[in-house]
Amino acid sequence: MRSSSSSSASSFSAKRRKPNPKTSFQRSSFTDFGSYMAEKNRKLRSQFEEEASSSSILNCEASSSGKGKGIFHGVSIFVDGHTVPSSQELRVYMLRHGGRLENYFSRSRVSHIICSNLPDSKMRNFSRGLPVLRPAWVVDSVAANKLLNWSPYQIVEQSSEIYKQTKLSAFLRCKNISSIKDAEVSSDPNDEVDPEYLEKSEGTPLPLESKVFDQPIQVNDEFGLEKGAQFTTLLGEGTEVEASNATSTQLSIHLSSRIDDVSVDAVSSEEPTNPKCLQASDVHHSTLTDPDFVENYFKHSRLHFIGTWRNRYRRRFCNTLERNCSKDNASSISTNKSYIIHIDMDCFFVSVILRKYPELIDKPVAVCHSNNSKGTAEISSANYPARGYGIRAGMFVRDAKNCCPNLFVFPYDFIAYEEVADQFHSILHKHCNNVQALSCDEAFLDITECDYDDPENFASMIRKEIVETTQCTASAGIAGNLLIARLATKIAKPNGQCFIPPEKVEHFLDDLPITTLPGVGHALGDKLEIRKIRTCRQLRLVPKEALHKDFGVKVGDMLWKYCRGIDDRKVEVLKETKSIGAEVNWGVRFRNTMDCEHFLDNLSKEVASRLRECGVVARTVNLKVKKRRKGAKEPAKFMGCGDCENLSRSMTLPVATDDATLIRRIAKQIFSSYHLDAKEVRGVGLQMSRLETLDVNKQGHKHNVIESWLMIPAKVGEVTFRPESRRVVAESLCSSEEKLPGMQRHGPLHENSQLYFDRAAAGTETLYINLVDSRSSENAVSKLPPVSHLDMSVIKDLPAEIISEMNVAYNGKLYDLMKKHDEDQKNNGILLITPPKVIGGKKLEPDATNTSGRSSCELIKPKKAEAFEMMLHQVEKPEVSCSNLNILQMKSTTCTDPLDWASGHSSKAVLLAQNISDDTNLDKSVSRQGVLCHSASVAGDSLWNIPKDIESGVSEKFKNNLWSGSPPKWVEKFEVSNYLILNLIAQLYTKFGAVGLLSPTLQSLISLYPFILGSNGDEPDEPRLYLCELLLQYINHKIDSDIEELYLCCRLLERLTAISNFFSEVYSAFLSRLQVSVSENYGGTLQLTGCGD
Amino acid sequence: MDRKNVTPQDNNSYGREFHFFEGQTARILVEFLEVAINCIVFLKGFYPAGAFERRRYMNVVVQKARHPQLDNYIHSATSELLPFIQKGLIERVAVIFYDKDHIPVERFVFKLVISQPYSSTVEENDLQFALRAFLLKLTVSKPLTKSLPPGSSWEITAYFRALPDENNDTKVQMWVPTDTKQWLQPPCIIPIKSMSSEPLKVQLYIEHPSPTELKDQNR
Repeated sequence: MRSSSSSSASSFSAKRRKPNPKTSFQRSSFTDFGSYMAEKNRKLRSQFEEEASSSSILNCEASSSGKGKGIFHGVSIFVDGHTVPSSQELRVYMLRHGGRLENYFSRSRVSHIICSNLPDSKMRNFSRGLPVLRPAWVVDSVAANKLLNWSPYQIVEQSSEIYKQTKLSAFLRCKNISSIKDAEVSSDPNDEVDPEYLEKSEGTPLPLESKVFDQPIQVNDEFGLEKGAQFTTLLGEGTEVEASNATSTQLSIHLSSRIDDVSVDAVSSEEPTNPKCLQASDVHHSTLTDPDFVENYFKHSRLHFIGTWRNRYRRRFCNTLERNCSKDNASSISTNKSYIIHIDMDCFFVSVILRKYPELIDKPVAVCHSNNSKGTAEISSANYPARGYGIRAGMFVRDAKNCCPNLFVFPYDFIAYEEVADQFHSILHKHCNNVQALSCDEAFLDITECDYDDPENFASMIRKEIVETTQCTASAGIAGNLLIARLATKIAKPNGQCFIPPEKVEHFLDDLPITTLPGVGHALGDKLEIRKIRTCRQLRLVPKEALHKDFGVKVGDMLWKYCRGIDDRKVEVLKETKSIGAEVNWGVRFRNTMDCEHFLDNLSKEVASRLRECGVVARTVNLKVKKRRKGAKEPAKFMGCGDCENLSRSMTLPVATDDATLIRRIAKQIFSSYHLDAKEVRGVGLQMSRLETLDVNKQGHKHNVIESWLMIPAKVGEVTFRPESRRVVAESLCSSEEKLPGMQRHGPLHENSQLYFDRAAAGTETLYINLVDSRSSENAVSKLPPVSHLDMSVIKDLPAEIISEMNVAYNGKLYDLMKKHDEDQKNNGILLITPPKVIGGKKLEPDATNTSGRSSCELIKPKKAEAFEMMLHQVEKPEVSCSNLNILQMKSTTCTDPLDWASGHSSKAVLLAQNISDDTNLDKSVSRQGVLCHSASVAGDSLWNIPKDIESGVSEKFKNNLWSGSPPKWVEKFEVSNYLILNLIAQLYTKFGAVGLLSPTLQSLISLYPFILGSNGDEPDEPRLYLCELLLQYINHKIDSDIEELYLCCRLLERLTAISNFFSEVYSAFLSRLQVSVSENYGGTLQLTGCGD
Repeated sequence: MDRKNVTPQDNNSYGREFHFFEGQTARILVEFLEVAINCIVFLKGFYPAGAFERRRYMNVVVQKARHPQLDNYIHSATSELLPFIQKGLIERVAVIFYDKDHIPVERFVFKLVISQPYSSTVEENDLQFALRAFLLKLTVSKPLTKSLPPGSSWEITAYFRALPDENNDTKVQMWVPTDTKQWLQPPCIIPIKSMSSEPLKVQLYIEHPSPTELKDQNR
């Protein structure tokens, strides 16, 4: 008890500074260091201020400008590494012009990072969101005597594709910097002893407090969310040093939230740098000259823009999409008269550009990455006047200029495309729930469920809104299904709409050339041409069987349906991605294999980043290579691929991956298997298929389970606090809190507020200790589970001696209870073989409420879970926020006793169960086990619904060391677990695993499992995940010393799968990881099927 | 069987250098390798059974080559490894069986992991006991192996962590760098026996070409 109270004390002081439990966990022993740093920082700042006030320049500037503030007012820089001018000189500048310089980095106080260069890792980890600028910004600002926009001074990082993408998506959220600046000034964070500020806070002390504190509490509650996580870190940083007094905590929270805004801004303001690169696109031409060819290639590729657009779209409209999905499933049955609108922007790539050049609207304009009139760059899009000259997409600029000498050619403007595409889709999503985005400028709407009477009016309304918002026109086709809607759009273009009601479909299709049908391209068109089929009417005459014979079942079906205007496809909100890859067929020239490998390097990185972007992992690697055909000349298109042979080979990995190095290795392997001359390679494509979603939740769960489970002690402590007591504490704290403003008014503020907080903290502590004491003493004394928690149905089956012994231990209560139980059963008419759930529920509840059971077994009951939730809600309320925050933090560290007790209980239960099975009373024991398993699992479930913050806090600590120690750590954890199977494994291991090997345990498990656990396959997921984690760590533990043992385990697990389903997932996870590890360490795979021949 | 320290001879030839792995342990390992390689060759039936005689090693019945040349090859190959093993230079020792085109068909790999400076605390008896298990397992491993195609050959290959300095040692010349053909596909691995103790970890496993590899070759 003593220990628990002291730990709560230390963690109190640590945690109040850092709500992020992970850091607090680690830092708790450095309390002194933290306060030392806080003091040091404070001292440095006051020194700085002294110097600043004595600096004459500021004074005269202040008098001259009359503002009283230097140009750097509100700016706080942190200088990293060597700079020119040096950090000392920069400091002087900041001194003189009202800025400040932080000697130690803190995300909350630093607003700009100044350095000459910053390594990538720092860029990612520590500067996240903060602008990283060259020192020239400070110098130039001083020279200009005003705060310059810092975006041109940014140090552009060699960032990954992921980062770039977020930049693009953040584009629309762009706010101008000045508004942020204003905000900075208004919430003047410079000075925490600013009397004005305090005066203000005095007036309305409580609202202010609540405003500040409801942020961290929300964070505590929604840890899962990214935002929350970000916030916590910010908050953690922010509160780190200044925890010693209340006001500064408030301020730093203010600060951190402000910085959050700035970071959004920082990200978005990087945008303008991109167009420059775009214009300079012709600097690097081929793989020969440009080491970053791949990156640049994709940066300038329109196809890449279109290709990756879907991911951005998915991210952006993710919420709407998910909502629709659920809705979709519910109400997709209605098939009466549906209307589909196909909406398509008119020459999207051109008209977006033309927004800036309204005078060119009637002139022929095309978009292409190069405007060299002799060039062989391909026109990607042309507007209608240009199309009038016969200019088509895919034409060389040179030919286009021949057709139309006054053609205007513009480069791409991807940022504008992005913006317009987003606007376009927002409009669609606003009006219709069922939207299938086909590409950035094209979508299907299913308006069946919308309440609009007239689809035509609806379409024109949407089109009108699109024109108003984006200044680009769109055309729409309306019809009964996707096919006709799409065909209608073709007629409607440009800037029109076309409605084809179902009765007119046939007539419409009659004379439609067959090649306009989607899916009918050159090849198919030519085949039909040979058969003299040109229109849909002619095609309709061909019987289905003939089509099947000529074109195969799939294509035949498609033709048969399409020419009749039948299309069964639904408007699907999102189609699943089948493969992800990157292909470069332009500018690929290698001198030697080294070049090739370097290129594959980059390509794999690109692909890996795309995989990560989509949050998927892939199993199959496919490498396509274009090889110059023998005798083919240098292609007409500059640096094009020309006439090529296509080679394609793929390899499937045992485990899905998104790891660039692994992909690269496979790619190189495939590449070398082609035995190609590097000089002949004209194009390389790397494609990953067999995608598996890296479900964040599932993955995270899998990863954290064992850690979270190890954390249960903390959890139980948390939950066992009863709401009433909590409220008492909260109220007491609240009342003392109300006195705070009064205290603040007098004397030196720091001391007073600190004093207050210390006192408040002490108050809570003592209260808590009382609470804990009262409870844990009960548990500690008896060491027996409360009589109410005994499972009567189990007890009854025990030998009479044991029952009497137990009765003595319970002071005779047991017999009474058993009697009562019997009566209960008779009354309720519950048979012994009722489902475990009923027994567990019925049995435990009444007794538990009688004895007001304070043990952790209460957790089983949903009632208590509700109570806990209620408590959490309370915590969210701002009035009690301050004190409750502390409570939340404290309880995780206090009172581990209940858990110990609970574990004791469960292991006893296991013992009981084993006794029974030994008694060969098999039929009955099975049902007992059901009860036990069930109650254990329920308890487990509630235990696992625990806030993740604590979970993640410890995850680091317990990672990868389950097998350390002797006996290994997991044994203990498994022994106290609530799961029979885990208990069993731990027991067997202690019995057989003397030499640190797992295989004897598994072997004995094979023989014991059927007797002890039966063959019921519905074990909950948790133990399986723990077992998985254990085994995976076992692989890591043994892989370099003992593959024999791993091989053996693998075989044994395989045998276990035959006994129980429980192991089949475990086995497959183990196997796949094992193969990967073996191939990493031994360069081969274990042979597991049939040995030799 | 002096278990105290490095033999004087060793000290003379490689004296001043820092020995990661000294003394008895290394010699036992080398001895073991010699016996094990004998057993492997016998196991594969590469030579008629009459070319071997039954011997007792660590109280296990093992086979030893009778033909002086064969015996000498195995003996010299393994004993020349000793200095390198002592320096911790050897990563793997492989007995590779080739077909007539000198493409590997089967490889018996001893993977050695020798810990950093560690006074050999392992008891000689314990080590012998552990290594004995290898020999026992080897004698019953025949079903795991593949039958050899006609015209096959075999050799002992050692994988060095770093190339030995040839100028210093005359004995290095016994070992010539090779450029053995590799399989294109990662091989299939069948573990035979593993032993992990401090400072020595030994694993023996068989590598077979992967099934896809075979298909490629056939084509």
